[in-house]
Amino acid sequence: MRHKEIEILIQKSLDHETNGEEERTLQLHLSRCPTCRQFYRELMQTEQALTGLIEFYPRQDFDDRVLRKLGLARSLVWAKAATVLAGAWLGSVLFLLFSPLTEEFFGRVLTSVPALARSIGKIQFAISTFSHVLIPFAKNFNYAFPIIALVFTVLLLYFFSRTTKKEVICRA
Amino acid sequence: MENEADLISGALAGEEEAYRGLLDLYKGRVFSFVYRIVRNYDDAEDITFGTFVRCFKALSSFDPTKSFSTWLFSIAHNLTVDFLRKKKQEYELLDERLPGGDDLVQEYEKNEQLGRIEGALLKLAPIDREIVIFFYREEKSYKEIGEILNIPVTTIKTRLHRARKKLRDLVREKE
Ligand SMILES: [Zn+2]
Repeated sequence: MRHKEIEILIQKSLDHETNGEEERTLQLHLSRCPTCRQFYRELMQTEQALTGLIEFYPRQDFDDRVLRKLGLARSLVWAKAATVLAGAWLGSVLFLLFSPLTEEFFGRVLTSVPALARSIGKIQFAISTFSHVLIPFAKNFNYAFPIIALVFTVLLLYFFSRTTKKEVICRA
Repeated sequence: MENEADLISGALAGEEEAYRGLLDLYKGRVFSFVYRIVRNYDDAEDITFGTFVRCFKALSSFDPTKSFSTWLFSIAHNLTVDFLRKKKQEYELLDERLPGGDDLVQEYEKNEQLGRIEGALLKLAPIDREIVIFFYREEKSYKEIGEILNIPVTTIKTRLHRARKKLRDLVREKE
């Protein structure tokens, strides 16, 4: 076979389109002809270099810019804010519920920061007023409150995630 | 959500994480492809941006029995060709007026082997660069490349064969 025909066969082989017979013919010729062998090897090296090309990336804020352009980003911000807020609330409820710090410690903190004590007092007043209206049988603060708060947190998280998701659907 | 079909249906249902997942999967591949054709970071980013915006907006018209990447790359290809046309740059011929390489590629040229092949790619016409990238990087079949570029398979084959030989000559020259 002439070199030119072998070149066609080499290209066909690189296209993964040779059959068994053609592949045998090619290999036989390559084993005998240094010129074609050299040509084949260099093409293979080029192929390897091509498959090893590096991937480039756009700038870091690319994803956010695409989503913002589609009107998805604003609701994403809300979804994130809702998650962070609900998470913080859940965290503080859990902290108060299972706090290793003594009541005495909180008392000392509150007396050393009068402003904090005042605002806590106001919150306590609000909670007790609210709970008197809502739950007439709860006369004073008790351990049921954090548990109620916990249940409300979970419900809030759930509905927040539902509404933000809906918003995304509308915008997309 | 890991697999592509899940991500697409998730995106269609409006889940932002699904959009981010698709971007994670494809932004590097699309950007690298566009960048290797236009050879300018900002232009490549603009085209990649336009590609994803168009793709996501038209996602409901995507036929899930077909290849998502082929569809995505055909959008990228169309925007790239529009860009070249606007810039009055050649698509099917090698435009010798264009300076070869820029900072990104020069950075990689420090790696001898990679630099050599990147430099050689620059000496192909954009259409041939596309064919080579789709065949070797994206592992697309001739048929798929034909769909993306909207040209007959025989043309792609002829062009790829010629491009292979030319790349081999160029890489050899530099050795
Ligand atoms: Zn020979």
